[in-house]
Amino acid sequence: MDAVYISPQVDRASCTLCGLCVEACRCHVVEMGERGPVFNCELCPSTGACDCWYLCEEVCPTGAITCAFEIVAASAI
Amino acid sequence: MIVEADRKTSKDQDGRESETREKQVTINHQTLTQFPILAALDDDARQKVASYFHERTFPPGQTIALEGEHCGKVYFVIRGVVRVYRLSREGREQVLARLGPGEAFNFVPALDGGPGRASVDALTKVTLYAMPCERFRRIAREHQEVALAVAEHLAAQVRRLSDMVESLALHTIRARLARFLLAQAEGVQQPSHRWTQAEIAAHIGTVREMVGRTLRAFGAAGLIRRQGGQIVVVDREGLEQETVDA
Repeated sequence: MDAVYISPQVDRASCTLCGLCVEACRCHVVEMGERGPVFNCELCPSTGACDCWYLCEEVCPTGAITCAFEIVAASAI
Repeated sequence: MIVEADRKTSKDQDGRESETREKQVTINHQTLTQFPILAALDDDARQKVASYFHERTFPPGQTIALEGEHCGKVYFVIRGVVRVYRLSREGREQVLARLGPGEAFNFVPALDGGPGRASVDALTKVTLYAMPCERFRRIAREHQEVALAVAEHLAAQVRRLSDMVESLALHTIRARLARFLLAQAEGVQQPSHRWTQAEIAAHIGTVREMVGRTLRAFGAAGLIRRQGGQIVVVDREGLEQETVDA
C-alpha cells in the first residue's frame, strides 16, 4: 500500500517561529517560512516511514504543531 | 417540524465566534430506542419522553458543559462525537471518555444536584437531545426501567473509571501507551479517529513529549512502524508484553 502523506498542521497564532521543528526533522523536509514552518513531507526520502516519529510535534514548545495519524493493526492494511 | 430556533453566539479562547443552535423540534420517539437508558420504555412512554427533549447543535470545539459549574440538563448524543475531560490547575487534561451516537452524559449532576464532574467539548459538529435534570429525575421516578438502566449505566462507568484509576496509578507510561495502541488497533475504542500526540497524552495521563519518546522507543523495538498517516502495530504480542510492567 502506498504511503499517504499527511502534512503536520500548524496553528499560526501559537507558532513563535523558533525553528526547532526545522532542526528536529531528520529528513530535512521542513523549512521556515515568514509565518511559520512549511512542511514538504511529500519530499521525505524515506517515503513517510522515517524514524522521526513526529519529532516536529514533540519539540514544538507551544504545541502549535499537530501530526494526526490513525492507529491500525498490520492485518488491517 | 421546527417550532422555534434559538441561535446563541459565543467566542472561544482564541476569540473565534461560534454558534450553537437550540431548537424545539418534534422528535420522532423511535429515535430514542438507540439509547439504552430509554430503550425499555414502552411506545406511549417513549412518545411522552420525546416531547420533553429539545435539540441542540454545537460546532467543533464548542464547550457544552464545564467542570464545577451547574449544568441543568442531561444530554443524549444523536450525531457527532464529544470529549469528556477534566483539567488540572496547570492546564493538563485527562480525557475520561469520547462519546458518540447512542450515548449520553451528565447523569451524576442530574441525580445528585451537584456541579458537573467534568467538562464536555464537541469534537465534531454535534447534535444532542437535551432535557432538564428535574424532568429527567421525574421520569426516573415514574419509570422503574429508566432508573434501573441509569443504575446499570453508572455501574459500567464505575467499572471503566476504576480501570482507568488503576492504569494511571499503577502502570508506567510505556504500559499505558501500549494498551492504548492495542485498543485502537483492535477497534475497541470507537469511533475511529486521527490522533495527535497531545490527544493521546490527555487519554493516558501524561504529556505529549513522553508520548513522542515512547512511540519512538516502540518503533526502534520493531513493535510499531510509521506508514504515511498511520501508525501500524506490527508486533501485537510484543506490544502486549509491554502492557505488563516490568
